[in-house]
Amino acid sequence: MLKNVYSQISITSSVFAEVVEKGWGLAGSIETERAMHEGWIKVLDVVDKWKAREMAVTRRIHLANAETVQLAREVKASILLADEKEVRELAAEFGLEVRGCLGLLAEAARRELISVKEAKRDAKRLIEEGYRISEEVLKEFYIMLGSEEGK
Amino acid sequence: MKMTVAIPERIKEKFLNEILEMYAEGEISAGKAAEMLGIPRAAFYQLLAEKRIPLPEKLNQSILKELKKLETKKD
Repeated sequence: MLKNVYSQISITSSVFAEVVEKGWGLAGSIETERAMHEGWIKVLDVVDKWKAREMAVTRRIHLANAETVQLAREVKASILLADEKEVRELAAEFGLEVRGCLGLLAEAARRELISVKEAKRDAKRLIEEGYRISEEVLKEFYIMLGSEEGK
Repeated sequence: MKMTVAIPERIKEKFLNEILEMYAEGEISAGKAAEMLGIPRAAFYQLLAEKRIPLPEKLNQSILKELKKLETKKD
């Protein structure tokens, strides 16, 4: 589904190491590896490594998270995909648009790449798999999808 | 020589619960928590699912903001 929403995705080598190497066999590892073979996910390295390091140290955040934000700035990404609070906060400071799992589903439904039914089913699966959003957030998600249904 | 320290199960359990609580309270990120436990991030999310740990409130608010922004965005 992700491939249809965004044509090109870049990840840092830290993210690759975390998801594919360390996380082999776990959620997302095989999918990421396949997407890299297909060429729509690319591993890119941050050019200004010092900037990333500086942000990590001064904000006391993970270097990998700072690198992700720095990479998004360098490649002038239109959207930064992240569900980590540290990444989202830092990205917001630079005016980068952030999209999490749930926002991604909402956007896919909005662009009619998936049906409302599929979006609801996938959201339920996310919650079961540990992405336990609050009732308030889920309600807002349903409202959004509801407004899509009416079209 | 490889050193191994025998840590009683109840202490491991306590450490794990402490980290899960810190994550839920928003004191540490998922990446940090996974690192402290010595497991991949994806495994940490599995733990969150098993233990039914809610997302930190700050993250919920951030997602809510994102959805609302998306709703008003013109295509």
